Amino acid sequence: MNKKSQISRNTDASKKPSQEAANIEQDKLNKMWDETAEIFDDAPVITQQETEDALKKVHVKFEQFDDTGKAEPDNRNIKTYLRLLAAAVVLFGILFGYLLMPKYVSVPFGETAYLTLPDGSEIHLNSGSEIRYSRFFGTISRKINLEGEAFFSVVPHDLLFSVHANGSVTEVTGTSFNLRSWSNDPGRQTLVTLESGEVVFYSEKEPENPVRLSAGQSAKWNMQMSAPTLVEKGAEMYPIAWMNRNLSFTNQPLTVIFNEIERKFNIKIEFDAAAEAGDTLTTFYSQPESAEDILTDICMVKGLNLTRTANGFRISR
Amino acid sequence: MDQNDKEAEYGLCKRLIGSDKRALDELFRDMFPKLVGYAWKYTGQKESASDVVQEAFIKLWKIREDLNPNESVKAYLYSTVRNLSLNHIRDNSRVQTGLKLAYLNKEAVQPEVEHWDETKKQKMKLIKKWISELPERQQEAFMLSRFEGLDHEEISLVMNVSPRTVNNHIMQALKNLTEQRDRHFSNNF
Repeated sequence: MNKKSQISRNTDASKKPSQEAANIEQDKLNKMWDETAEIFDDAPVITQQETEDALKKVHVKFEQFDDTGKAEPDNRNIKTYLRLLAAAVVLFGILFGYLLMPKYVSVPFGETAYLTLPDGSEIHLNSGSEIRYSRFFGTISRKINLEGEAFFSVVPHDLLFSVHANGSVTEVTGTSFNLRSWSNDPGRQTLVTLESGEVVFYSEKEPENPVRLSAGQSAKWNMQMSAPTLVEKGAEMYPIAWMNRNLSFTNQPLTVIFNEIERKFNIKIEFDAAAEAGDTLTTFYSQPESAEDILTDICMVKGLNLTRTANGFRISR
Repeated sequence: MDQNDKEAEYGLCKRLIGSDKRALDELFRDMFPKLVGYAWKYTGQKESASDVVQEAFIKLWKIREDLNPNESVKAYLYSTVRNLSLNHIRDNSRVQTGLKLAYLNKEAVQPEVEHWDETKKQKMKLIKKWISELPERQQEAFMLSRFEGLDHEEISLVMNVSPRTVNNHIMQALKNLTEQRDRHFSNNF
């Protein structure tokens, strides 16, 4: 096909009036046409072999949609399959996330709670305490996180039973012990008191310096200490008094006592720094019924003022 | 396109509609190198050009039952290859090229033809640049006419316009290119 002749024919028809000018113009265009002739000489050469290879690939694609050549049903199958796969992935994700999510048990203020763990161990939780453990508890480990105070009766088991509380670790195999660890106590002190068996108690910072307790012994650790120490016998008179709904404090700072009363009676106690001022107190109450009696006593002894508020008391000097 | 070609194409199209795979093979063997050359002018890479053309044939096979034997299968292939090439450029270029010929815009790519000297290479590069700057429809018509050897009637089928409009586009493209060249040489000499 001769392109030049085609171009001339069309332009001749449209530019009759000035034939000469048109001819000059036409020459220029023809020249331009010729000049572009070689610009794609660097185009790739496709060999017969390459053509055959490409054709094979196309045939493979054809076989992906069925014999009749209708692409839709197969496409739909793939789409359904992909959708199912996506759903399965999402389900697995949710299941996995669920399994990784720890179990929480928290006890409201003013109440205590009993709990039996999957391995048969029992926990008695004091007011306001919270424990957290994996859904795999008892199968790959027996690890518990504690905030607050609880009494553990641990059943013997191949797996070590460990309680992590405010930077302390208490490890046991089969025993019963009380563990008190409040993050709002001074120095986040953790106190472990062993009733029977044996426990190993250490801080997460220095696991190489543990304390080994035998029945009847107590040990404490707080943020200011490097390693835990044994508590002198009698220094804490009734560490598990709370289990019988008693209140017992041995040389405890007023802050600790007020915090305990808040949790036990589910009330709010406001006190300023001047009111507690590092003062300590030793006291015991047998199954007290109201917070007011206790607080009235404390305030009288320590020379503090007690006033009622909407949801509790205010204590000032 | 003469009468024999037309009849051959009509027959081939009929066989395609009847799901004759050998008809597709014939068409493929005949058209593949030409279409790759065409796609390459857009994508600038032999690999992607080949992929684009294969995709066009797969599309053709999928819609074969809806083909009209009175319309040109070749025209369908050229317009499909062009559209797929432009999609390819759109999806693979970090910078929007404005759907122009990607290869022509590439400053870095030097034509590799052994017998070309530097002056000629520079000149060819310039012309490519000017073509890439043509309005889209003019560019399409010019490319199909000049480099793919399609006649005006075939181009009119590819572009879905009348053969007269095709001619106008080509004439206008040539005029624009001539003006570019005149401007360039008056500026440089």
